[in-house]
Amino acid sequence: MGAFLDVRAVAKTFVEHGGRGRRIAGGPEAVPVLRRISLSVQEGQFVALVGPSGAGKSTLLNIIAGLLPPDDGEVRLQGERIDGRPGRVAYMMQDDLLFPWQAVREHVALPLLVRGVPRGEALRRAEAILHDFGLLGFADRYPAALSGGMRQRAALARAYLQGSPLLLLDEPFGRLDAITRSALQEWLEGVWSRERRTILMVTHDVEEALYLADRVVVLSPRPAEVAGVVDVPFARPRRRGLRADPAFVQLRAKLTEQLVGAV
Amino acid sequence: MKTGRFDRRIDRLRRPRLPGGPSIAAVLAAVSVWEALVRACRVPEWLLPAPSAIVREMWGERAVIADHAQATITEAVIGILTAVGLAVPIATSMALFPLLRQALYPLFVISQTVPIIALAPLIMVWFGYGMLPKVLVVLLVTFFPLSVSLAEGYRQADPRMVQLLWTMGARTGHVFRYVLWPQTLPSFFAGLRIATTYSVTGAVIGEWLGATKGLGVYLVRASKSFQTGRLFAAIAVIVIVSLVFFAVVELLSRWFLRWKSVDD
Repeated sequence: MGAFLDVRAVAKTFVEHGGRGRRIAGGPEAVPVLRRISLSVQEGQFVALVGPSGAGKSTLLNIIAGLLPPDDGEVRLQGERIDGRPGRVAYMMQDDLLFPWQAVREHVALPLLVRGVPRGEALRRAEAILHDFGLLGFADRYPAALSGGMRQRAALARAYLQGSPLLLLDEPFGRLDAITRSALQEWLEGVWSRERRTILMVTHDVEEALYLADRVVVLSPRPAEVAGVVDVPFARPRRRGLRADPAFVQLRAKLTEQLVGAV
Repeated sequence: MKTGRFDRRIDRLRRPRLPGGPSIAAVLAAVSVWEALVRACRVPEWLLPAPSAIVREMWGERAVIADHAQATITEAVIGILTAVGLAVPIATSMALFPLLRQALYPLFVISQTVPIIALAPLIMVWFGYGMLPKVLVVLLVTFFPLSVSLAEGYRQADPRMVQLLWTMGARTGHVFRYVLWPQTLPSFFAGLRIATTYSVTGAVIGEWLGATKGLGVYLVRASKSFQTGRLFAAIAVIVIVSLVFFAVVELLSRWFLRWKSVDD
């Protein structure tokens, strides 16, 4: 059995109608995206997945989330097959994906409402975690009236309250400015240290990966393969100054090299 | 202080004005010009009555007009509620089953190209002179804008929002409740706004072709007896009823789409 999350030899090829790629006998084009990806995540671990853009990182998350069936291979969570079966893991997709018609409170309560928790109780429980996510006092705001950082935190709170043992994050801070971004990274590290939920995060930012994760998995460009795995040695809780630490800088350079080398 | 005055002017442009303020002024101005011209040129009332004469006529006939208006309003309201009741499940099924959409959509468009004035007499022949044929005419003219706007709204739904709900373990019902319906609502209200303005006219056309009661009947009688004042009185009532309908839809839409008007 082994790992908490086990991705075994997952492969995926997209068939595109028009576009670049390998042409099969004049028909639609087959674009291999993932080539036998295997990786495992231990319980309570924070793993970051870095790779060049367009490498198929989001595709891999979609497969683990059960939204997209792999062509080959399988995904197991605590020994149970979860590929092709959405609803087992919480997934924060790219670009926060908040619903313009819902106030913050309703967003956070949504996974509970979907599970059949009575509305009053769901809203109460949502409200209870707003403080932890820095959203206290914003419960009644609609997304249009939130800052970028608040939107990301609302989306994270929504994924968190789903209560799944595994949390998938797809570039959670991708669209933010540098200052908000590092502030949110520090905040997320704090939240994670307290809750110890297992997290698999996709990012294209090596520094973000090193700052947050216990282990960094580097993917090669499309069709993606695992190009390398790096264990991050830094103690927790991680200090703000860590980013300037010589050991951190050295590891970042090494990882960047690996990433560029993979291209 | 010139800049100050300029700033204030820009400020005034940005501030939301009293809704309808300028339009009310424009209507009042047009009515005043009308009144003045009719008086100055001594236009006979059977040719073109002055607004004051129309108001006098409305007041004198208020009991009769109210009676007829009630019939028209009832037909329009029943017609439009039936149209909503039919358009919601049909457009929803079209969103769920693309094959159904492909089959029905052209039929909807074709049904719209058939001139209602040609069809309405037939409906009278089929269903008699009661309320049913009028409701059917209203249904016919309001169903199309409603169902098409709903179907368009569903088509614009963000598939990733639906996927997000699947990852929460949602069922189809949840997807409709939390994503598809709220997402479609603005488009639905756009259709409803058009449909309500059609509904009163639809009912009047139905009555025009044969009825015992309704503003359409009153209109026919007034025009056949050259009582132009009454004719205009009926027109004014039709306009007022349509405006009230429109206002109700507008209020409903503001309430349901209150999330659209927030940026504090």
